Amino acid sequence: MRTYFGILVLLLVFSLTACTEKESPAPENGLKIIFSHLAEDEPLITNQMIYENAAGNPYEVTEIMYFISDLTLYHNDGRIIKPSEWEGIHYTDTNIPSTLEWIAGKNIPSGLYDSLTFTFGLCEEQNQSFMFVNPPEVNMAWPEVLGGGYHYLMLNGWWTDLQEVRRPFNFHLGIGQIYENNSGQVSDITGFVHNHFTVNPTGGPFSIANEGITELTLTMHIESWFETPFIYDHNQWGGAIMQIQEAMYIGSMNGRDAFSIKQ
Amino acid sequence: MEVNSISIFSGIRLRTLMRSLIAFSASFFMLTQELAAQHQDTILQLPVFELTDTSVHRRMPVSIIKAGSLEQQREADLGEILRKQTNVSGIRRGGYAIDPVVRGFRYSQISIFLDEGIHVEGGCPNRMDPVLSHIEPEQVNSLEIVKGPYLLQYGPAPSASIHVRTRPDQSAFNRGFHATSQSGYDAGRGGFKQHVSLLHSAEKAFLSFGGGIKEYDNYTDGNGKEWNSSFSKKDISADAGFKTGRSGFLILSYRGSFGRDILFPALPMDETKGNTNIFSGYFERYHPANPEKRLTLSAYHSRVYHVMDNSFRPQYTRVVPPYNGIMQATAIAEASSSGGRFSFSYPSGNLSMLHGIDTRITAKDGTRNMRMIMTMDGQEYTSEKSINLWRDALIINTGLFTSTTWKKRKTEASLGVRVDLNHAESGDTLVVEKEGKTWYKSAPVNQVMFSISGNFTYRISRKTTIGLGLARSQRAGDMQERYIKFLATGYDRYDYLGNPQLKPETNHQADLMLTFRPGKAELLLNVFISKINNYITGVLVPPNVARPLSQGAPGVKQFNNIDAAVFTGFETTLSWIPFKNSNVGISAAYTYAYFMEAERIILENNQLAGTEIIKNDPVPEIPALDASMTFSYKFRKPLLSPQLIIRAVAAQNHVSLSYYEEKSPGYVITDLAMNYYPHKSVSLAAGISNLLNTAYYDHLNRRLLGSNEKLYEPGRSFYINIKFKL
Repeated sequence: MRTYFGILVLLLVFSLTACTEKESPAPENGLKIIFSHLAEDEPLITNQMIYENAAGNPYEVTEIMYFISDLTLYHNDGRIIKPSEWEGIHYTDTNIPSTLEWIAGKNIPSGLYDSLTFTFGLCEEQNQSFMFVNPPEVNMAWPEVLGGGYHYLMLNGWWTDLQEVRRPFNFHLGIGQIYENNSGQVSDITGFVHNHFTVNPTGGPFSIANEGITELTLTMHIESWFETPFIYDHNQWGGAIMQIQEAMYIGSMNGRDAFSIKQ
Repeated sequence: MEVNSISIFSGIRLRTLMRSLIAFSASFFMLTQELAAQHQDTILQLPVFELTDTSVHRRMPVSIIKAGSLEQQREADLGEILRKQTNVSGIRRGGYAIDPVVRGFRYSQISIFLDEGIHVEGGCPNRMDPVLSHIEPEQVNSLEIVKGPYLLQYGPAPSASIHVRTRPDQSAFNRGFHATSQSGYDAGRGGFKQHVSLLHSAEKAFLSFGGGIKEYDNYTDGNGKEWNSSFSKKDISADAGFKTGRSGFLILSYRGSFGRDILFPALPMDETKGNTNIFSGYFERYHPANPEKRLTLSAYHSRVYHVMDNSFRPQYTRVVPPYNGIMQATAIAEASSSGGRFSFSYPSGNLSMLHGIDTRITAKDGTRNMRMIMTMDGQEYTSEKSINLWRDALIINTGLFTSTTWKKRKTEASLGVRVDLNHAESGDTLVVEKEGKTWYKSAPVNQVMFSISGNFTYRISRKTTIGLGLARSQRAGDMQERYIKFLATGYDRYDYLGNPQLKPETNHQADLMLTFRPGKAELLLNVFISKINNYITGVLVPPNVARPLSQGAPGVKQFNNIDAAVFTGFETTLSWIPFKNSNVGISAAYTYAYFMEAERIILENNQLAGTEIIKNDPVPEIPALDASMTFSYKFRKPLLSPQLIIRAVAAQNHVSLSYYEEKSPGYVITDLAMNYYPHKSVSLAAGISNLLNTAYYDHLNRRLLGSNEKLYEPGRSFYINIKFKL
C-alpha cells in the first residue's frame, strides 16, 4: 500500500511544482504622441468667451473630440514607416486626459525623420458604421442616413452673434451630403463626400531613439480651423453644419495647417 | 439587508402558490390513491451523493446521479445540480443555465449527450443555452459524469463526458399505469415548478407523456441585493415503445423545452425565446439466450431556435451615459444536430466486444442586428446594421469505434479505440486580411482524429483496489471556435472571432484510482494529470485587424491553438457509517492548470504598451479547492432522513496573468435538507439552502455587465419538493 501512496504523492508533487514566472522582454523603442490644444498660441481655456476668430466672431470652446489615423513617418534615409501596426486610429478627447497620449508604435527604426503625416478623420475604407461600439468612440457616430461612419471632428462651443446673443456651435466634420436642389432634406440626398484630409504638420525634423519611448507633441491650433485659406464665419453657417457640405469643406481645407509637431 | 425566508412565507404570493400546490397535489393524490394501492413499488432513499460500486466505477472516474437524487434538489437547472458533484463546477451568467466545468474543462471539451449519443447544439453564442439547459431535471433518469476521455462510444470524448439518460428502458413495458407529479417551491426566488408524467404500458407497447412548467423570479444574494435572474420554462415529452418480436424493441421519443425571458445580468443580452425540439428513435435487438449479444440502432434530430436581445436593459429605451444614443441589439440563431449510431456487442471468451459507427451533422446559422438611435442638432437619427454570427455553418463528424473489456479474477481491463473524420465548412463571405496576412477566411476543412483509451483495475486485497486509466483523445474545433463572428463568448468580455483553420485539440491523460474499504467506510482517491496539445483558446487580435462589435468588449480575440496546457489534481471521497442508520460523507477536489507558455499583452490606457511571455501561467477559470461534508441520519419511524451539508471552498489565488484574471475569496456555506416519506406513494424533500445567508460568489461566476462586480450566489432559501407517484 505504501508504494502506491508514494506514487500518488510523487505524481502530485511533480505536477504542482510548475511556478509562474515572467520572461524579461527584449529592449524595444516606441513613439508616444502627446496631444495639445492651443488657441491664439496659448493653452486652450475652455468655457470662457475670450477668443475671437478671423471673421470677428467672439467664441469659446467647450470640448474637442477627433480621430486621426494612418500615421506615416518619413525617415531621412528615404524609408516610409507606418508605425501603428497595432492600432491605426486614435481618438482624442479634451474631456478624457488618457486620450491625450497615444503610443503610436513600437520597434520603430531609430534615427532622424524629416516629417510625418496623418489622416484627419477616417478614410472612406475605414469609416464604417458600428466600427466602434463602446464609449467614447461610439458617441462620435455619424448618422447612417447622412453617410454613416463617424465624426472626424466635434469642436463644440459658443459664439456671440450679431445681435449679441450667445449661441451654441457644433463645428462637426464628417461625411458630407449632396442634396438635390440644395434642399437639405434627407430624402433628397444624391451622394456623399468624404471630407477626411491629410495633414503634414509643421515643426520640422525629429529623431527616434534606439531604446525607450520617444515623445512628440502634436499641437492643434484651434483658431486655424476658422482661417486660412478660408475665413469661417459662424454668423454665416450657423450652429450646426452636419448637413452643410460647403461649411464642412471649408473646415476640411482650413484644418490642413491646424497642426504642428514639437520634440 | 438580510433575506428572511420566514417572512417571505407570510407573503400573499407564497400563500397563493402553496394553496394551489397543496390543492393540486391533494386532488391528484386522492384521485390516484386507489390505483396506488395496487402497486408494490418501494420508494428508494437516495443520498445526495451516491457512491456506486460497479466495475465501470472502479475502472473510470465516474459520478452517477439518479433521478431519485435529482427530484430532491432545490435547483431547477441541471447545470446547477451538477455543481454539487466532486470536481464539477459551473459558470454562472444568470439565474439559469449554469455551464458545467469538469476538472477545469469546459464547453466542447466536455461531451454532453443524451441516451445513445443524441447531441444538442445550443443556439446562443454567449452560451445562454448550454446543452444541459435544453433538458429538464424531471426528464432525466440518470446522469453519468466520466471525468476523462474514456467514453469513446458516443462521439469524440475530449476531456470529460456527461451522459444524460432520459429514455425509458425495457422495464417500461408491462408496468401498467403509472403517474407521477412533482411540485416544488423555492421561497428565495419565488420559484414554482410543477411536472406531471403519465405512463401506460401493455405487454408489447407503452406510451408515456410528460410536461412541466417553471416560473422563477429574481434571486436575492446574502447581502440582500436582487439580481435580474428570473426565467420561465415549459417542457413536454413523449415516448412510445413497441416490442418487435421476442427480443427486440423500438422506442420513439420527443423532448421539447421552451424558455422565455431568461435573464443574464452578466451578458449584454437576455434570452427572450428559446425553443428546443428533440426527436429520436432507438431500436435494440438482443439474443434471447444471451442478452450480451446485442445490436442497437438509433437516430435523432434536435433543433434549437434562440432569440436574444437587450430589451430588458435600460439602454434599449433610453440614453444611458456614457452612451449618447439608444442602443438596441437582437440576435437570432438556429442550430440543429442530426445523427445516428449503430453498434453491436457480443462476448468472446473472457472478452466483451463492442463495435460501432456514429455520425453527427451539426448546422448553425444566425444573425445579429444592431440599432443606434441618436439625437443630433435636434433631429433623431437611426442607424442599423446586421451581421452574421454564423452563416450556413456545417460540421459533419463520423466515427468508428471499438472497445473490449477483459475480466479475469482480480483483474479487469478495457480498451477503446475511436477514429473520426471531421468535415467543417461555412457559407461565410467574411474575409479578414491585413497586410498580406489572412486572419479569417472560410474554406472546407477535413480532419482525421484518433483516440484511444485503456483502463486497468487490480484488486490488491478484499479491501483495496487500484486502477489506472490512460487515454489520448482528440476533438476538433466547435462551431464557436471555428466560425463565430464578433461576439463576447468568453469570460473576459472580448469579442471572439472564429478560426476555420484550427487544429484538433489533443488530450493525453492519466488517472490513478484507489479504492479502500476498511469495514464501515469507503475511501476513493483519484489523482489525474492531463496534457493538452494545441489547446484552443483566444489570442488577442490587433484593433487594426478587427474591432469588437459588442458593447463593453475591449477588443477582439481569435481562437487559436497554443501549446500546451497541463491540468492536474485529485478527487477524494470518504463515506463512513459511524453508527447504525447514520452516514458521514467527506469529499474534496482540486485542479491545478497552467499554460506552459502564454503571451501577455500589456495595455496602458487601453493601448498596446508591450508584450511579455509568462511561463506556467494558470489557465483561467479553474475552480478553487473545494471540500464538503455531509452528515445524515435515517429515522425508520417515521421514514425521515435529515442531512446537514457543509461546503468549504478555498480562495482562488492561482489566477491567469495573461488573461488579467482576478482572484476570488473563499467561502463556507451550510445547507439543511430533509427527505420524508409519509406514504409509499408520497415523498417530500425540504430544506434551507445557504442556511447562514452567506454572501458569496464562486470563482467561475461571471461579472455583472459593465462592472467588476461578480455575480453573487443566492442567499438563504427555504424550499420544498413534493412527489406523488403511483
